[in-house]
Amino acid sequence: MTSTKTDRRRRLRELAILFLKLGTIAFGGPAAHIAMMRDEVVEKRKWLTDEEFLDLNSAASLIPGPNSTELAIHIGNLRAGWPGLIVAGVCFIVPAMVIVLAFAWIYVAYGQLPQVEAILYGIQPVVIAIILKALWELSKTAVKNVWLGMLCFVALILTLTGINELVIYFSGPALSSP
Amino acid sequence: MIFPLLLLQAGGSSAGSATLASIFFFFLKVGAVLFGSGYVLIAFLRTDLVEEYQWLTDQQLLDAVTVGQITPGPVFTTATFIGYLLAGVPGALLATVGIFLPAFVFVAMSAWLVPRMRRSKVFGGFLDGVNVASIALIAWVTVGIGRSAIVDVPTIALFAVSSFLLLRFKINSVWLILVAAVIGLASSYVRI
Repeated sequence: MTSTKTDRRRRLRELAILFLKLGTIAFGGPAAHIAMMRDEVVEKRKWLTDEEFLDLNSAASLIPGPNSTELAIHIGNLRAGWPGLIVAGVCFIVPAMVIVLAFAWIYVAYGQLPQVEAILYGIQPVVIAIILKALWELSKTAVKNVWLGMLCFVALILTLTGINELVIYFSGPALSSP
Repeated sequence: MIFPLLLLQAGGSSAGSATLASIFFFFLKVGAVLFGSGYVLIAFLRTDLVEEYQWLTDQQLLDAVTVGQITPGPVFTTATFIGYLLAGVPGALLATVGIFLPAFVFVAMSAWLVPRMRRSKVFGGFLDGVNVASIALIAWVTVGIGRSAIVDVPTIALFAVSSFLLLRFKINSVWLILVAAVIGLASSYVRI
């Protein structure tokens, strides 16, 4: 009993540290968040397999709300039940909220946004590399056969048309069911 | 205990009719109905906040969305920024809680389904289809970011070196980002 209790406490602490870190340095939007979360929870910590990670990401995409935040919440839930669900989500959101609050204060007080172009200039190429690596690893798991490879290609064509992403999410399954 | 607080009239110059309660419930609605990954946020917010309620100007909304995108973490922290513009720190906190609260509820309600879907042949196939569609969407978004991010020799070099380090040495992405931020800052001084 005590061991499971300390185990859960340890898991919650790990979740808190991981998502506070990601909330502070995960620049680049949802695609980058997904890539960095994969790096941490699949590759480094081995909490999930690539397939479990992909499934959670899809589950997050099919419900309303911010996908990558919901992916963080899913991971917390899988690791440590509902306390993990809350800890992971809150820890991912709060650092970002504090940073945005600082920007908002500067915006109101000085009438302009802080200049962060220089930082982004350096970070963005690295973010692309991080996303491409995750895409490569995830696609090895997701594209299980030729048929799914063709579906992926069709979905890519559909994104070019600027169609709603929900339609794209459902196009794969719709085409794959007999 | 929170209720009387919600009824307080919000301060702020541009917010004629934005009370704390209306800010909270507006963002609760956005968090509950908006699909997608934050990229569709601006069109959705513009219709309501700029045209309908006239809480914000177009420029303020653009700046709010920009801040959500250029800061780390979720893009939906755009709500934090808008909440602050409308009603200071209380507005920022309520907007943030409002827009993110539904995410916790939706995940709590739907998480049990995921392993069950994976075990089913039919729904497992469904997930396979959504998984490859997600890959395609991420790939397309990456092309978009790449076109604005990799623009000259230093950014090409940063991309190449970080790709090499990631693939060859499995280096932690956190360190790469921190180093890249420092390089970015340093380069701005060099160029001046």
